[in-house]
Order: sequence, then structure tokens, then C-alpha cells
Amino acid sequence: MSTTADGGASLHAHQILRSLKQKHNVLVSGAPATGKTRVLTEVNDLFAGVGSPPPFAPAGPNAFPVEGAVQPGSELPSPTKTKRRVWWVTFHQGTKYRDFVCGLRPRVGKGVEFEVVVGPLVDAIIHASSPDGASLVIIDEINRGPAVLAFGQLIGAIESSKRAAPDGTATRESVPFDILTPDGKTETRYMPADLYILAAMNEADTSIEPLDVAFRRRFAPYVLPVDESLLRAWFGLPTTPATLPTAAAAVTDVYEGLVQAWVAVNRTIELGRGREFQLGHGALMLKPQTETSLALLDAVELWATLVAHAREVFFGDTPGLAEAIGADQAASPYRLEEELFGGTPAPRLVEPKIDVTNVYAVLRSAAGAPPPAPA
Amino acid sequence: MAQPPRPVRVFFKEIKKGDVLKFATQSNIAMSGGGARDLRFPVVPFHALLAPMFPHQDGPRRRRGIVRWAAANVTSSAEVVLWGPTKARPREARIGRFYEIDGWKVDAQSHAAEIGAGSRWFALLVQLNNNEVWARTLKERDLGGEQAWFADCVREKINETRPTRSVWGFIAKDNGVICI
Repeated sequence: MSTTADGGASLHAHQILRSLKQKHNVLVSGAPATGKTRVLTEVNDLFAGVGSPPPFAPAGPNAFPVEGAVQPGSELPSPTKTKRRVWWVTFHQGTKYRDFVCGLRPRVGKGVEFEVVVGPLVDAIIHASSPDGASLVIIDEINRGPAVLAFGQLIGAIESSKRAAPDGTATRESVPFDILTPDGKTETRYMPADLYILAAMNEADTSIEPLDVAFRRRFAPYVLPVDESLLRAWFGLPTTPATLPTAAAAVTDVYEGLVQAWVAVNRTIELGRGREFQLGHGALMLKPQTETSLALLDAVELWATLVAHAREVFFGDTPGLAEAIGADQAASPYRLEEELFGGTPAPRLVEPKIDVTNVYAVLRSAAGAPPPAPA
Repeated sequence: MAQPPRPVRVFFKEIKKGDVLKFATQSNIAMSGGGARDLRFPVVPFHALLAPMFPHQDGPRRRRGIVRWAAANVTSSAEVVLWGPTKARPREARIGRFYEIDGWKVDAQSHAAEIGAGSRWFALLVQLNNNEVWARTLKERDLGGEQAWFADCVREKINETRPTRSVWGFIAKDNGVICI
């Protein structure tokens, strides 16, 4: 017997959808290239897909649902709502409350004029407040902009327990907030129960805004892991590491070396910098080759990707970089040397040219395989 | 966007109390026709109809295939064997070790409650046009939410079957709908 994610959307997307249903706000994080944007797209499709049930449903009360029927008890948030809309927003350094929620914007014309701007969050609030409406706001790169500033006073109102009741009325815990109407007046609202917020961020990026604890607390965390099994499945490799031969005789030897080297580099990065700085499996997912020579060519490119990532992660830390790429291994062509700089010993990494003739040996040594026996 | 796979063959069988006990105990229960580990059914017409769901033929009497099922958004699968009739039992075919198909699992208490409420419970085997075979269960009271081609056939077989007997049926949906 085997257990896998079902066809179509990934298991992560289903789990995030279930978490949205329970907590309203979910924050997806993960190392670069772990599939964050992909999973956002999957959740987008799952959320918006009601009204067109599959011809066959493996679970739920009905096997062959009638067109337009909703499966009660499913993981779908607000399953009875038929008008379902999704908003996509990408935060950046210039994102303001006015852009995301609402505000006044100068209008070019005669004299000084202002116009009311209704941002995607207010648009989603209005839609989710309608009788059949349900809204999903997806925020990519939430920590690349000033998130707390962009949410403004709504930071309290988005919390699951501070929202309006499902019928739209305020409860004792509901937190009110004001929005601008198009005619410039203010209107007091409550965050509807049928509005959901899904955000994603890359914690390892160096050009980001840190999210404060109070803001993060309002989101259920979901971490996308670096997944070796996905990469092994992608390259058609066995589920557990195999012994690396001294020379690559087949395509699978090259990919096995690549996966093992990637795992070893990531392990060092996790120890030296943290798990969130690892390189995700997606970065290595080039189309698998059927000829060894072509696989070696791809391996040259992918090893360069790994080294470039390690160089960025260990920027200014040459010994750390050397450790990450396995320069300390006996068979490694990389060497960590010391030279005098201003009378002080300074580390220097001696790097060979990597091509199809030596890339497998590099992968093998980075993976920690024993050096080939002398001829 | 790619079309989702559609069903082409559907086998359904009413789950009787003996089947539930077989599932729970994995032992020989005479009241459901014996067969310690098997789901037995009439060789005519079902053996030939079910054969395409078990594409690997190992011998004159033995075919096998992968059966999938879903629970809590996780898909599981098992290799299941379809056995042909024997000299001793020329009128019976069987699905071996059917209790390994968790997609058919029904607990005795829920089953008794459902029967008490006047609703039958069915085990389904569904082959899609991508050749995947899925197992799941279905309650008679949920037939109202099903598409007519399926619900009508199940109701037809219920009406044709004496209350003491198990309701069986098969739907071929390659070209039009044939309810057998």
C-alpha cells in the first residue's frame, strides 16, 4: 500500500485550504524554490473551482455529483457560497495602505483634487459581504513591503475571532474599522467571515522587511519543506540514496550524484545559516535527460546554481562557502588556502573550471563519497 | 485546461452485514457466502465486465490491478486480485483480500444505523477513462445528489432485487449508458 498526494493539486494545497477554512489567514513560507507560488496557484484554483464538480469524486457524499452541487463537509472554505473571487497582490517596498485598503489619491487636473482609491482588500470585503460572495486575497512576497503599514487598522479586524458572524452581524468580539466610500465619506465595517487571506514569503531573501510578531500571530503558519523525495521522483531515482560509482555510466548516476551533492550542500547551509536559507528542490528540476552526456551538461549548470546560491548565503564567509561546497573533501578539486593580506592571513577559495569531464567527480566528492581507489 | 477524467465503468454492490463483519474480522463468515478473505459475486455477468479493471493477467484465472481510494485528501492504493471461477465453484468469481481496500471499509455500528434508517450502503469500483480504478462507498440516501445515469441504474437494480438479496449492478459508459 502507498500513500501519496492525490492527483491535481498537491497535498500542501489541500492542507492550506483546510487551514484557511479554520483560521481564515495563512502565511506560507519556505526556502527559495520550494514551490510557494505554485501552491498559491493551486489554492487559487481549488478555492474558485466550486460549481463545476469533477465527473467522479473519490470522497464526499456523492460519487458523481450533480453539476453545480457543493460537497458539504469538504475542506472548501465557505462551501455554500457560489460567487467566489480571488484577488492577487504582490507587496513591494512602495506598497501603501492606500494601495491595498483605501485612501485618497491626487488627481491631475485643474487645481488640487483628490479621488478615493478602493484597494483590493476593500474590494474583497465588499464582495464577501454580499449574500453569495466569498473572497480569497492572495498576497505574494508579503514581507517585501511594509505589511503592517499596508494593513493599517485592519490588522486587528482580520483575526479569525475578531470577524463578523457568518450572517454579517457584529459579535461581541468583532473589531470595527473604517473605510472610505467612493463619495469620500467614512463607513464602519467588520471583516466578513467569508473573506480569507493567503500570504507567502521567502524568509531567506536579504532584501526584505521583517514581519513583527503581532502581525504574524494573526496568520496560521505553513512551511513548505525542501523535499528530496520530489527531486528523486522527478529524476526517476530510487527513494533512498544509492552508492555512487566512481564514474558515471548512466544518466541515473549523474542525477544520483546531483541529488546527493544538493542534499550535502543544503545540510551545511542549514547548519551554518539556517533551514530557511537552503536551496529548494525546484531549482534543480530541469527536464530529465535520456543521454548521459546531456545529463552531465545539465549537471554543470545545476552545480553552478548550487555554488552561486552557497556563495550568496555565505557572502563574506569564504571558509563557510568552502565547507558548503565540500572543499574539505579529499577528492574535491576545490581548495581553501590562506594568503597574506596586509600582513594578515586571509582565506582564499581556489576554484577549478567545472565542465562535463569533471562535474561528476565534483558532485561525488561534495556528496561525501569516498575518493576512487588509486589505479 | 485539461478535462478531468470521467468514469467509463462502474461496479456497485450492496454492503450486507456479513460483508461488514468480513471486513472487520477478516475471517470466514458463512452468512455472506463464506470466503474468508474474498468478495464473491456471480461469474455471469460480472467477471467479464470487471476484467478490464484488472489489466494484468497472470494466468487463466488470475488478474490483478491497482485500486485507489481517498480519505482526508490523501490517496492510497493497493494491488488487488480478481479471481475467475474454479471447478468447485464454477458460478463464482471473487475479489481477493478485499478488506485491504480501505475505501470500502464501513464500521458495523454506522452500517446498522444506516440500515435501521432504511438506507442501503454500497461499495463502488469505478474505472476512469485514464484507466485508474477507484473504490469508495455510497449511501442510498445520497443518491439524490448523483447524476441521473448513475442514480437511475442503482434504483432500477434496487427495485429488481428481493429485500433479502444483495443489490448488484454494473454500468458501462463508453458509448451511451448501459445498466447491467
